[in-house]
Amino acid sequence: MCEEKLLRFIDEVSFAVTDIGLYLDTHPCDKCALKYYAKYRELRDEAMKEYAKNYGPLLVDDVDSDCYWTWIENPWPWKGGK
Amino acid sequence: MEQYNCCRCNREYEEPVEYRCACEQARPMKECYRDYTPCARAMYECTETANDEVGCMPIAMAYVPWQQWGEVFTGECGLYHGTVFPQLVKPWWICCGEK
Repeated sequence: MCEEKLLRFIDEVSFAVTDIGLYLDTHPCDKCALKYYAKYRELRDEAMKEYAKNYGPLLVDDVDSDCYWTWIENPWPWKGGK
Repeated sequence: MEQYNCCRCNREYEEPVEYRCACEQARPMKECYRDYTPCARAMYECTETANDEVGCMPIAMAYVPWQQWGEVFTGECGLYHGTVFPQLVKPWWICCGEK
């Protein structure tokens, strides 16, 4: 998936995870909501890993290297980075 | 122990409290009335006069019904609408003020 599309997808699944989290705050036992959360969190994790592999980590949590701190490789946001 | 001198919060009190209902009939108080707490309801109106669901709740307070699980959008639609719940999509139409 191209970078723009992947970023858009990450926005969408992240929004769903956040919104369902708000619902779960007041409905912690709702099985349907928990299933929805699990589905979209998995989609998000996969998309984040794919992005990190192809375009660099979006979050420090996605840095996956034991020989170099890849976090500093991409341009910083104030220099046009994501 | 008569049924009516034990409040919903299970705190018992010595004697039944009577109050004068809006329809002027003396009624045994089903709920403890002295220390008004979220679980204790002030029964000013007898239930016969309360015709809607919130009729027996204290006045001048806002009530929001619990959200129930229902349909949900996909992530894409949810981001577009600003919520993943169709039931919460409430676009406010700004009309031009004509009647």
